[in-house]
Amino acid sequence: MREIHRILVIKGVYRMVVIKAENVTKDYALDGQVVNALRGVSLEFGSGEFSAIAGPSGSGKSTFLHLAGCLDTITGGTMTVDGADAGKMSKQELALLRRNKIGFIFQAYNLIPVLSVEENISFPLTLLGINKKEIKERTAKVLKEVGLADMAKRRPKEMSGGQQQRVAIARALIKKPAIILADEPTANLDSTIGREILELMVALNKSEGTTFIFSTHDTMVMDYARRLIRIRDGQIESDVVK
Amino acid sequence: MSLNGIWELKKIALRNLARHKVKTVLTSAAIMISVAVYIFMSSWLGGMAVESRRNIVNYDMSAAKLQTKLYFERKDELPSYENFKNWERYRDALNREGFNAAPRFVFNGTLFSNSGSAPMRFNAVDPAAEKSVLHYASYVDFGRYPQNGMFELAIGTTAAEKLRVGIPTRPRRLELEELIRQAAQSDTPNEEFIRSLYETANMSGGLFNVAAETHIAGNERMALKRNVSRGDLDRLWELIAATDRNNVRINAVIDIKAVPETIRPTLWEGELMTSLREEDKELVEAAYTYEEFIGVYLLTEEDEARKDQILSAMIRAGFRGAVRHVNQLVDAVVVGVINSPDPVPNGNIGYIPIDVLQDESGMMLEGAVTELLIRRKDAPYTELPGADESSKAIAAALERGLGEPLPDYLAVFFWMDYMKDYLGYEALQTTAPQVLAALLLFISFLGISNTILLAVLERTKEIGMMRALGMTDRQMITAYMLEAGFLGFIGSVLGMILGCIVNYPMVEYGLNISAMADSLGNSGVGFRVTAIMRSVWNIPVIFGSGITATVLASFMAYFPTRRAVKMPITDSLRFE
Repeated sequence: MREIHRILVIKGVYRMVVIKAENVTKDYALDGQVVNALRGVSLEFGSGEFSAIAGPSGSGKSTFLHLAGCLDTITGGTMTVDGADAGKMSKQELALLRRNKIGFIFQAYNLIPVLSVEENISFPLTLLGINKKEIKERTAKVLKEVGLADMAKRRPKEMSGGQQQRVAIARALIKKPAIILADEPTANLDSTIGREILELMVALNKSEGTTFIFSTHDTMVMDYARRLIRIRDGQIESDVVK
Repeated sequence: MSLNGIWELKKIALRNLARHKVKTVLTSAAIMISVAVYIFMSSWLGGMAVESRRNIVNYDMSAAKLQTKLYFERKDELPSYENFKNWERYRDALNREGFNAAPRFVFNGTLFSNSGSAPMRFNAVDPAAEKSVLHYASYVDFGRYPQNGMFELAIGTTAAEKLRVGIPTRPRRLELEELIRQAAQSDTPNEEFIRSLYETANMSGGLFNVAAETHIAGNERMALKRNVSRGDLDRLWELIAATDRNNVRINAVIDIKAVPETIRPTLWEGELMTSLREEDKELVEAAYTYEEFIGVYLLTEEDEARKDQILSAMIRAGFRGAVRHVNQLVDAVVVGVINSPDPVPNGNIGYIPIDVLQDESGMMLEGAVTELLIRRKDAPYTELPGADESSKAIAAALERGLGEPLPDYLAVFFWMDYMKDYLGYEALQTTAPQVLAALLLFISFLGISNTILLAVLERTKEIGMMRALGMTDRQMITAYMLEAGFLGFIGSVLGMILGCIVNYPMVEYGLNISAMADSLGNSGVGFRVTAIMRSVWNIPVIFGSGITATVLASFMAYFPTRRAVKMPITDSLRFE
């Protein structure tokens, strides 16, 4: 199942390949009609990348992100995530792969409303079966990193959108995933807050070496990204490393 | 998944329940009520069943009966011809082995009083032995139990009311005046004494009231006061007994099997010889000689054992000449009225000493009995017969005492064998309401299912996100089953508490149904209980229903959640 990590060289930096899509296609039925959301996409992402996939709505950028995050299954081609062939895995194996390797940040934050900030953040570690003491330490550390150390006991609905997205970032970050996939993370935030969130992710990318891949149609996100992939009609239009 | 993880799921489940307080309260209230109703119902019905069974054993059946097998087969017809003799040796054998035994000859008949007649079942009994196996004799409300050597009857209170025998409890005013006229014999103190024991019946109030009767002068209902002392009742009984009010006449036909002394030639040729088995013919022919002079076949055999063989041969052949009808009229006096906790001894039934019925002045029983009631000597009043009083155990003890096997035609029948019809009826009586209560429980589970279904729908996005974070389908289903389980648990615990609170007075004080039983003519209410219905504490039912409700409630979450995790994660996340 696991292959030796390929090495990707981007601008003279050697990076291990964490996601490798080869000629990936995705069809789904919508109102009885087959929609070709992706029509043969081949892409590689290395560790520590800070990349954005941009395109108008319906271009297939979110579909690609979902496939890379193993939330959905590909129709054709191969999708390798951290060396594992996602196309050949069972539902249960995919769940475990997501649990261990992948962090998500959603446009709508998607926090568990009945849990406090620190409980939301520690939830992925609970699923991993990590002991209470370590969970406590790591939660405190991540809370500090996202600047919410004094809001640990709050409930999501008592917080602003920006604060909630910080919680979501902390939740994605805490298990030290191979990759964090962020689906339009700033779309619900105003530009000032959006910039703060992006600054935070840039900082984390630098300090922790966390890999971030965004899908976005926000030019500000595109500005921050060091690699910008444009998708249109399910095909890659351009792939530029700044 | 680790214990810690399940703990985390529990936290989410509990918080979700707290988030939707009203829904939680309503759903668990439904469970609470159904669990409480179920507990109450089963405890009550269980109590009734236990009480009924105790009554049957203590007042009607005893633990077991020694009877002929043929009697048992036709027991519903009271086949008095299926009797047996020499019962004393079985009684003595049983006594030696620690059992009491009471002989009875049971027959049907009609009882006539000065005011009317009633079909009755008569038990010819040995009073002392009867008291050693059954307890109804201590419930002789008025008068006393019959004594050996006297043509005395104790009858059920229903029969006494109907036949206007003994002390009337609810007479019309004119009836009472007539009674006073006869009993007091113009003695003023006696007149006043009798009058002082009665009051105008209170016709209002009470749950089961007979429709108010029209008031015609003299037609008013009177009632015996509730607080009349035993001494006053005895004095009243004496006054009444001095009149002819308690004089009765028994009219009964008893069929007794016997080798006929004479057989007419037409019967001999036409019936007996044609129906006898070949191997029996010789035996019968040898026992009779034809007497030309009177023109009949005359029994000449004197050996008792051979007579028994002849009788069996005739019975096998269905020869009706072998059954002797004894139609007798027996004058007796009612000396007691029985009002026991069991409806049977209170009904149309009479107890008369067996010793006075032996010869021509009685019923010509000639030592025969239809049954021997058997009970262990130290059997506790409150307990049902156990393994040591089973038909097998008693039969074994009997054979030990006899020193030889029981004759082939006799067998010991346990009270439950005898009461199969009742027990089947009891099962129906106790099951039907429980099925209704279980249905109620089922409906409240639909409530849980609905609550979880709505919760799953409402939290579709949340479910999608949790699955994205790596929660497996099984964990998801566990989480929701925990939530439903908690709903069930809260409802069950409250239901168990409520059930016990409601059950408590029913166990401690019971429900007095004597008014209802009276208005139903003392025929009972299906169960063999006449006075007070009591519940019991049925611990397995209490905990069992709580645990079952909790477990079933949690299963109710399985299908809605499984449906939810079948939805693609991306669809769940997009769900609004």
